[in-house]
Amino acid sequence: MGGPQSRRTAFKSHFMHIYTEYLPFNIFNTFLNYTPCTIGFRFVSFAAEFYPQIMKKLLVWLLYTFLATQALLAQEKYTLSGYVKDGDTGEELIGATIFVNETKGGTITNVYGFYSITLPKGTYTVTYSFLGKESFTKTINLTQAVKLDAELKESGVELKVVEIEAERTDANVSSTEMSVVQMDMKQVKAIPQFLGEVDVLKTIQLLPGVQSGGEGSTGFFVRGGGADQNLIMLDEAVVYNASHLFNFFSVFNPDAVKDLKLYKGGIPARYGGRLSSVLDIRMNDGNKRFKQNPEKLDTIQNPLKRAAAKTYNRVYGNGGIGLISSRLTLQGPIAKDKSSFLITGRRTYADLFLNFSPDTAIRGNKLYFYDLNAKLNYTINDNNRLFLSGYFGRDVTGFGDLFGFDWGNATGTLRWNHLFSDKLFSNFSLIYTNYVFNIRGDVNPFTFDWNSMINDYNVKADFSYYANSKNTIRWGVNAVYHNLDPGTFLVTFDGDTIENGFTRLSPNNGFEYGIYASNEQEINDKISLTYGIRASLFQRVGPGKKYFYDKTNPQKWVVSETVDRESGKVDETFWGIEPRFTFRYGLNSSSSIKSSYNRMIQYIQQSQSSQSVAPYDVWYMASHNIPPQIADQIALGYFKNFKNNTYETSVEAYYKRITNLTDLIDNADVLGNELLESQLRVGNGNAWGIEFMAKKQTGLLTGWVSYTYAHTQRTIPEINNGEPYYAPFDRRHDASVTGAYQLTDRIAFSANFVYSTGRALTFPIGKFEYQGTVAPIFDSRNASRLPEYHRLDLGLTIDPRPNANKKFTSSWSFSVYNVYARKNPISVSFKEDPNNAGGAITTMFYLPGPIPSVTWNFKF
Amino acid sequence: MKKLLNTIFIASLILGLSSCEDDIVLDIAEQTSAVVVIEGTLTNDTTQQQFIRVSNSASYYSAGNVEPASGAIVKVNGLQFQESTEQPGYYFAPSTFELIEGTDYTLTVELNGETYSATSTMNPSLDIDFIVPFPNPIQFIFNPEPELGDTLYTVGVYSSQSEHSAPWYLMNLYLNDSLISDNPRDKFLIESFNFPYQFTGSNQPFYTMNFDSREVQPGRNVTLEVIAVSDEFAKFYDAFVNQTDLSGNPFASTPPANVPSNLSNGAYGFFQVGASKKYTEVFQPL
Repeated sequence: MGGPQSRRTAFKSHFMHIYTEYLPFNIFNTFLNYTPCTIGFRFVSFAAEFYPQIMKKLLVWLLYTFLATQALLAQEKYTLSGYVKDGDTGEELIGATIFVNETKGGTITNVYGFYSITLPKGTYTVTYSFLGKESFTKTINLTQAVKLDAELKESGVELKVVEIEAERTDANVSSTEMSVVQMDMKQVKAIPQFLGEVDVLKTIQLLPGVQSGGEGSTGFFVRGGGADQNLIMLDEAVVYNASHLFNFFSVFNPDAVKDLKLYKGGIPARYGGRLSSVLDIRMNDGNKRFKQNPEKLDTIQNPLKRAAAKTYNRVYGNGGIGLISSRLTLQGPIAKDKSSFLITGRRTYADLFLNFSPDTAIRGNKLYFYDLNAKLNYTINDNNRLFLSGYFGRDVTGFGDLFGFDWGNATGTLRWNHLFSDKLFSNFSLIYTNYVFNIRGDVNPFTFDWNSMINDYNVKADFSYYANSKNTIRWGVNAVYHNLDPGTFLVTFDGDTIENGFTRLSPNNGFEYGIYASNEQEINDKISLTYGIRASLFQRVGPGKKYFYDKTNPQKWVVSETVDRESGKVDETFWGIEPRFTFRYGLNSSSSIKSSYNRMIQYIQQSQSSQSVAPYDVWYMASHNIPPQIADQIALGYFKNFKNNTYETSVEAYYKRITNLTDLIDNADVLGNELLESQLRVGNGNAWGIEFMAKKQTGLLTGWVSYTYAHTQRTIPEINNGEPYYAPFDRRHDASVTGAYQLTDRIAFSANFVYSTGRALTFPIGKFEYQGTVAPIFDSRNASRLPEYHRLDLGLTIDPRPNANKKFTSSWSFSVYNVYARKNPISVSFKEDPNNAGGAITTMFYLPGPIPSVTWNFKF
Repeated sequence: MKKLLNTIFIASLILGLSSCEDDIVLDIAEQTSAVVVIEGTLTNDTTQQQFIRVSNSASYYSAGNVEPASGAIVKVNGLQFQESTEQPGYYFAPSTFELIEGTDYTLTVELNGETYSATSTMNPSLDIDFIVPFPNPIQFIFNPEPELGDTLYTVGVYSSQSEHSAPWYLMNLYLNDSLISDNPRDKFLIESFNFPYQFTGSNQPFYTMNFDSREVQPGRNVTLEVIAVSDEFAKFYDAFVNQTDLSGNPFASTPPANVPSNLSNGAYGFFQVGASKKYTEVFQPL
């Protein structure tokens, strides 16, 4: 009965379907293709060429102004210094603001909670503030050096109207730093979680300029940089593999983390070794609050016992039981005002349920991870503090005794804070990092064992000199010994090692040195800048093997000569100068313009054999075949706050050029390959983009909206016929909306929506047959894209009824990941159609949704 | 080693990823023009008819088998191969064709005014002393108590030849004189460097292969064919298996890329000559 009318109706409904489903995105795409972004970036890349010349002139001028301000400031001055602490736990607060009303200036606490500000003699009104804490204001008569430790209490139920402070400084606008995000765990925990696991790495993926590694993945890519170009540090120790269970979870236990700071650009001179970002994660120190029970004390007659009871130290605990893991944290003071500790553990237990499976094949399989964080701090006196912290984590997977695959990190950091004076703060660190993975099989009569390891031994000294209210000078040195051991393979038969059954891949050993100096200078009310320089040196040392290749065939490097590196002897040296610069111009009290330039050099990198970062991806060092990578990045931004800093907004544009970027050749053989270098080729990379961010941090509704438009391209002569191609993680559009709404004083609702362009991938354009099997013929590298990615998550938190007398409290959090069950591909594969001879199909892996979860958290 | 590693990574994938798999249709461009594909593995095995196959590539999602390329002039060292009338695109060697060890052979294919060529060296094969089958232990992970006739076998291969005669060997398994599978994924490519695995009490080279075919069962007549192949062939085969079997697997593979070829002028496929040796016995597990 298909008359013209019914055909029309069918057409209309089909059209409407397409229209409603795709139109919003189409308009969005069209709009972005025609914005002046492209023209803008041409200009920026042109400016980058001339940057060194401009820099040189600028440095001379800076030196002049620095000396001039020193002369001007030659009047009677005194220093106000001390620590800012959390009034509830006694722990030091990182990044707390100290605002001096009279000068309209101030400072922030460093990563140890220390601040120092030098002002001319006089009386000042000083306000100490920190997000989510009640501000503390004090009038200080500065006629001599003053030491003042401020304690900031929880600002209570957030339902109350937040007290608006007049002219409160706000880091978004007033700080010289740009391309930086600092977050405390409260913000991280407010976001709906995947399987109920609070994850810092998944949270930073929601920020502009940070691309996700894929569905459910903790991998991240910053401003067109590779996953191995992120310097991820836990209490200063480099974490080589920050993921658990094939990237689904990160190694950072939320209960152990105090604060995180991500630098995407304008990276300070004190950091080095990675090109694209710095993720500085600090662990909690342990609750320092000492609890006493005066009533109880009165009942004790024996004075000795009473004294002992006075030093009773309370252990605080908190934890959670979730669908896949449980956590427990114990912390508390050890000696009053002297020391405290923290120990926290986490383990997943999905594998325990495997044992109840009716299928004997599933029983006895292993699939879990655990981690342990511990920290101890000791205040020797006002000028000396010690911190000892450590992390240990393992992933264990396996099929009974037949096959096992384990990996994990271990780090240890010993730090000593020393105050040489109230103006000179220093920190000395000894850091050890270890990463191992092991793959073993016991396939009777054979056994197979592959062990690989990374060891880093790191010594650091950092100094901050708070010269005056206008200048903060930092300098420091750092030496690391890297031992990257791609591993040993051992094959046995009936318990004996077989001939050629033991293979040792040659180790990579090297020293990496860094020395830096920088100054954070306020020229006047409007202009402030940070300028610094870092010199880095890298030396390859033996034992190991050095390969020379015949590169006549650019596609196939053949070993022409092998030289043994002499044990302990330096036989290759690389070095570089890394200028760092940020500039701020304040337009008014609520807006500013900032610009930055940084050069970063990376001497060790990781080969990524798979599409996502895998535990067995090998790290290797710079050599005469693979020179160190260099990144130059410039960024320009506009920062504006609204309604007394309730809303923070920013727009940032960046251009990054990577020299000596490496990528794998087609059909590269990476796993366990002694000649890994022969599978890599060197070229250049370009990345540029524009990032928008609007954030609301106070009030009933908090959250942010972020959007990034980005381009990441690589050009390597021997890859893709020398034509530029997109990086696998290149995504044109990346947007997210994250919000939390405090419904009542106990109930909070949260939601999170993510949208991004599909990942770049090589698609087939044809197929051919060989020996009756169909194989794909591929287009040029990464020329196509996976379908777009989008997802909605929802969360609900129910807090306990406020009751100060109750020792034990608990809360519930519920979340649903991927609410509308979008099938976002983790990967696609191109294969022969098993049901149709000669046919080819594409299949995708995806995480089925929606994934609900529930976590019960408790505190005592 | 690579095969073992791949097995391990697939296993870890199954473990680590409780995700789902769906067929999807991607926005894939149609090929603009067909590419010539040449397939030829010539051996000195006189029981098999030697041939070169010439075909055309097809659009990725196109249905059915690829189109044969008829009417080509196919020559090996000047000797012309004749196209079969029953099987278009298959060019069979003349009866006078003989491969001599140590000689270089050049294939030329002339088609539609274009010439495609490749050269390969005839290496001697390897002597097999005996083969020993034993149940493949990996199967017990998924099937702890296999039924009779359902067991998968691993075959241990022993050779007492003192020196290797080729960089790699390609292993074919025949059951009652017919090849179990021609699919490269079901064959074994063994690097001679890895072959001389020795175990205590014996000096004999040893290698194991896991045959994932339930056809190989005790009491059946099993023939193992060993063909000497080049390094370049091994790279081609390895890439072929990776790109057809593991392509897109997020944990196990290098990213998608074209399988290399030794043919000139942009043709796909591979031309290889190699000596073949066969070893036959009635399958008797340990």
